[in-house]
Amino acid sequence: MNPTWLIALPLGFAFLGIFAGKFSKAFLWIASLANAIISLFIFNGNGVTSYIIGGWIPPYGINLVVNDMTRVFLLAVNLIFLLALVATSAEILKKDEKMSVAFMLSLAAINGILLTGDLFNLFVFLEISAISAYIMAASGKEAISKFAALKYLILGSIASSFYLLGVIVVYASTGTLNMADAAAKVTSLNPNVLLAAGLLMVVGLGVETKLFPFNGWAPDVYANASGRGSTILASVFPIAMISAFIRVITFVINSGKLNELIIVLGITTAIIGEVLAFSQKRMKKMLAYSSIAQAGVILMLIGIGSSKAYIGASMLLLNNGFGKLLLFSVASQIALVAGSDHFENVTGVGRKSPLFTLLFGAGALTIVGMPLFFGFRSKLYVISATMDKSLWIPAVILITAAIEVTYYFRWIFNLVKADAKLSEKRSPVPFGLALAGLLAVLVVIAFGIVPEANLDFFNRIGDLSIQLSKTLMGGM
Amino acid sequence: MKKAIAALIAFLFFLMFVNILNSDSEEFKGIPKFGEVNLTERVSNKYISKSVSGDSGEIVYGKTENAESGSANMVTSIVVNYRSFDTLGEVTVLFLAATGVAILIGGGQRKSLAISVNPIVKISARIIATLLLAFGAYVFIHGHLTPGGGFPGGTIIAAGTLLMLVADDKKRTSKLLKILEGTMGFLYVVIGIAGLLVTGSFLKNFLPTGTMGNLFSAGLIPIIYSVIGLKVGAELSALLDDFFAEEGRK
Repeated sequence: MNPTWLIALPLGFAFLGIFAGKFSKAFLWIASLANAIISLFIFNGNGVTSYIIGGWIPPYGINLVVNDMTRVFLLAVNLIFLLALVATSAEILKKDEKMSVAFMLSLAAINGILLTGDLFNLFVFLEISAISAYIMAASGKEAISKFAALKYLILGSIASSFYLLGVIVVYASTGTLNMADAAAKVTSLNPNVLLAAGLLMVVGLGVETKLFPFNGWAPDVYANASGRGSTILASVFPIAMISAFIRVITFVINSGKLNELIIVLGITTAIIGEVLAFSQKRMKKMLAYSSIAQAGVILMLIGIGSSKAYIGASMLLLNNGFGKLLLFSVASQIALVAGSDHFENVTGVGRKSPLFTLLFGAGALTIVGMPLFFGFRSKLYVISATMDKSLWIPAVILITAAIEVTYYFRWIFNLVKADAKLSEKRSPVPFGLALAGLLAVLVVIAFGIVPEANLDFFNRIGDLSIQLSKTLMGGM
Repeated sequence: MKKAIAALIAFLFFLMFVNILNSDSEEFKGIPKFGEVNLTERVSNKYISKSVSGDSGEIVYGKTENAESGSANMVTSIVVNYRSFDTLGEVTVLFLAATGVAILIGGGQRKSLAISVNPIVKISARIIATLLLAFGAYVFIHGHLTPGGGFPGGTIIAAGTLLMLVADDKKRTSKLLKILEGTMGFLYVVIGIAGLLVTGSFLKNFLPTGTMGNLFSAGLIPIIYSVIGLKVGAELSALLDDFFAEEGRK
């Protein structure tokens, strides 16, 4: 199956959706359902395949690359996107016909980011995904969501220009934009030039991947966007952005000094994220800081760059995707039921509707890394992957996990605490949220308990990452 | 204090760029100095000689037939042929930005002007806008021959709309613009999918490229540029209308 369909379908539907009125919501469903099915077909395969666009061979034309890492990410992204739509289907957005267009375009852009084998094409898709993210960020009910979106808009636009500047430096010195070709040519480059280009790109991609100190936009945006917007931003976007980060920073640039910088920044991000999450009074803000911390750990693993670290990073990414899908969709619904998501307001909501507690609890437990959940397996793997680098990296991971456990359990206990203030009326859980939530819970538990042999697609990520780094990635 | 730190960072940035611009040496490759670029190593060389899929000999304006990319304008052949997928993306960026504006501030009524506009101004604005429309169409239809193309052509058309909107405070753009915009974007994707189905490669040219320099040449390029021109024109016109409605009654 040609992966171009993953980009072309949502794109085509989005263009139709702008004047189709009510149908645009249906288009969104059709596009995401079709994408989920197509990505299932693409997942059934292995090895590296390059699909050329426009009939021009790389490095002259643009190509899409499907490898084992992309396959896993594509399936995860399209499934989580569909589940996020189902989970938040009860929410009524302002101007939701036009919002559907933005969601469709974000789906197309995310698939493009995962697939493309060209540095400039990646920039174009980053732009599309970023602009749709600004629109999603501004989709909240309160005016503060617009303010958060404006902050994100300024930071994000500067970040894209930094990335573009990095691409320009690479193009000026190597004369090519194809990732694999550039990766082969930068090895003979002056290390200073390479470092400068890499640094510019780290700044550019760091904003989107929430690397400290470029992540100031994230808490406000995640906390104030609409339910659907924040769920997609927190669960789907990190997978695509970190995939872009892996491709550009570690596969193309691959400069030793830069990787060390990323390890340090990643650890800092993780610690700061967890500590700030601990002190939050709002549920969605707490989740946002927790997302930042998760991104920090994943980026740190990417900085280490061993094959085991890549496997660990992709496990954590998927775990974070499914976990945050549960947490954000439930948190948005709870905020709707309780009037706000402040700590005092949500006390006892889970007692009235146990399903909330179940879904939120499952999401929290898999993020924290409790046994039986996917999080446990991935964190165990991460610790074993970082052990041979140095001992204090797993120690940091364990400490952050300990902080994580504390505050997540505080929120879970708060949800089930008996509280007289709440009215007797039960607050029903919308059908879509229950369905998608239970499916996501099934996924994280299944990934947590199935035997290792059934998860060999993760091992293939690790096997390939080394050879991919230079020769095969661009399919040349 | 903040300003001092900002100045320091800017200075360090400047030093970094001076450093990397002087990095080309015998030992290491860096950014090549002006006039010392080894063209054979760069992809752009083959775009200029139109020899990506094979040597096509000397390119002569008005004579060469069936070149791999039939556009006489070199930039156009890169933008709409060799890297057409990027252009589809850029069109989408503009589309999404216009949609975002419509979501956030669109849908209100027009704010009326504080001064009344002289009828002479209104009528002459209409005449000039018509000329701009024709000129914009000329620019995007000849995008494969002369400088210009879909984006500049569309912007010229939107400039005509802007003139009309400024000169007449009752003026609104037509609702049909959204339909035009969406259809044209959809057409671009359809052209891409047609390439995928006909030749097996998304956005690949499947029409004969003709004699270079003729109006009817270069295969899909004039079609795609007309689509882009109409789309950008419609999009920016609707966008301007949204801006004019920003402070009006909702």
